Amino acid sequence: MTKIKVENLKFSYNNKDEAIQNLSFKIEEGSWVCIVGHNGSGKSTLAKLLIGLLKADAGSIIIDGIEMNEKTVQEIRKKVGIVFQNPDNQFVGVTVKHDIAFGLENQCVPQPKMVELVDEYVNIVGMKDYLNKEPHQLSGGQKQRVAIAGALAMNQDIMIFDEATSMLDPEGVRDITEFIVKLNKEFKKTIITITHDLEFAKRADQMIVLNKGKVVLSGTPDDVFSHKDILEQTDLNIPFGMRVFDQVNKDDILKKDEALVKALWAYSLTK
Amino acid sequence: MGIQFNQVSYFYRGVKNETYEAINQISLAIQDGEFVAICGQTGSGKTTLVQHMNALLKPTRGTVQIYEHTIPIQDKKTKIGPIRKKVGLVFQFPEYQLFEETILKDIMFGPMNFGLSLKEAEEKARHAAQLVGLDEAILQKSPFRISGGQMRRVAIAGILAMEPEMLVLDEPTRGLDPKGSDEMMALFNELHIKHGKTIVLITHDMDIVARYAKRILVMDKGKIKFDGTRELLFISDEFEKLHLAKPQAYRMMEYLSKTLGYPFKQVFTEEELLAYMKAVHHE
Repeated sequence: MTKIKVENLKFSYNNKDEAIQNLSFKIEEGSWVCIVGHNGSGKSTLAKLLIGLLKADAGSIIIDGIEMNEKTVQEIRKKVGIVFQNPDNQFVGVTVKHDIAFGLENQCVPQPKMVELVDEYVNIVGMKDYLNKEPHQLSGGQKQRVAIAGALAMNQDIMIFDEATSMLDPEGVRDITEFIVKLNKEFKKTIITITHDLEFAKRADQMIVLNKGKVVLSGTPDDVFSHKDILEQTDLNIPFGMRVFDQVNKDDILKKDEALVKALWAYSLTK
Repeated sequence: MGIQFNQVSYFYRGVKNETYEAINQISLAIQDGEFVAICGQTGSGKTTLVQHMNALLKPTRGTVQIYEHTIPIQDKKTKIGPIRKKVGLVFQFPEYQLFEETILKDIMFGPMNFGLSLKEAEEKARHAAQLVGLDEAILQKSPFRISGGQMRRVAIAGILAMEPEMLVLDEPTRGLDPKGSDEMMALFNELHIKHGKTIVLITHDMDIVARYAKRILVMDKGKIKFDGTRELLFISDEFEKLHLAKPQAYRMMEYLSKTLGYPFKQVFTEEELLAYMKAVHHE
């Protein structure tokens, strides 16, 4: 079933350069789609359009059969959660438990139910022992986990992660990546991750590659990586394994070593 | 000269007046001309350590020698300003600290604060802008109308305009895309090689560490757990306990050695890996 349908979407910040140019794509329910592009490719603009923080100049966004407009944006936001890049910019509560409860309060959930939900979701993200901690006592990865718990508590079907790991240390990145997988596989959420990291994008079901506000490639990671010539024009970093594979194939002697070529290909596909 | 830590500990005070020991009895010397990377998990004390390097923090116990000055300052005559001028500290996300109307004015702020005339400050600012690769034409623009990577360059130029001997950077590539990150590192390498600046930087990126750093410090729970070259780090018995990754080229070498029986050799960069593969085959 199609969960999100974007058709001929257009947006510009200043009526001059179009940040999003006639964008169309579909996202299936329960899938994990990775939108990739370098800085300024329009990927974060797209995220803001998808949650109705920005209003498109033309075209449509249909989520769960509802077309986004001023009247439906509140209803759509109940379905779409977002975790932003900077964990400090989205921590609104005084403590972890207040932060997770924030969205629930806005939805007028009764207090006893709220306590129950906060407990449930703080357990899922492994932050049970931190309920009364203040944001400055948490690492970036822990703050992102709180943001995820907050979104889970809102029971949103679609989760967008906008560069949600780019400010974290390696352990934090691993941690949040595992949560994304869990949200998708166990909780059956539709996931949209937005990143410039192609190594990370390999793990998604589908990839959409943006450049200058346009889709230049889309499909499964295998499809996308078979068009390396196009990828290279987008200023993205080709994953290390693939770069070495390409270099070896350019060398007259090395490329004759079939075992080497095969081993490198297998390595470049590992996720 | 450089910087010397003598048995330095630093305690933070928490909300309930409890104390956290951020760094614990650290002794360390950094000489002029070094390129040092500091690694370690979040909360291991890296930022606290580097903030002692220009006297932004003063040790709770022990002393820090910054060039000819000792911190904490014992006499009443010594001013902290000249010490901070020796060592330029660039915070995480330094672009958040830009505030002036134009890029040029922002870069001039530091030198002006150290009492230079408008003319001298502008001269130094223009020179610093050139060092970080900012185009002359954008200097009159607002620092808020340029890309994040450019903003970070402006912030670094602001520090360089004070002509420090040593540049200390807290995660300078964090949040940049791969291209921005490569350009940033190329800049520090040039400042190091061409202009003789001592570089100390915090990073989590082991590819950066392996490519540029001549010396690596690894921190864990407020102590320095490793101090040495990349050649020694990855074969250290303690490596597993340090929670670090290996560089990508290094990992691929391990993989080739395991699956194809390639004779193992430490390689740290893509270029070194390819050169080694060629050497093995062209024999």
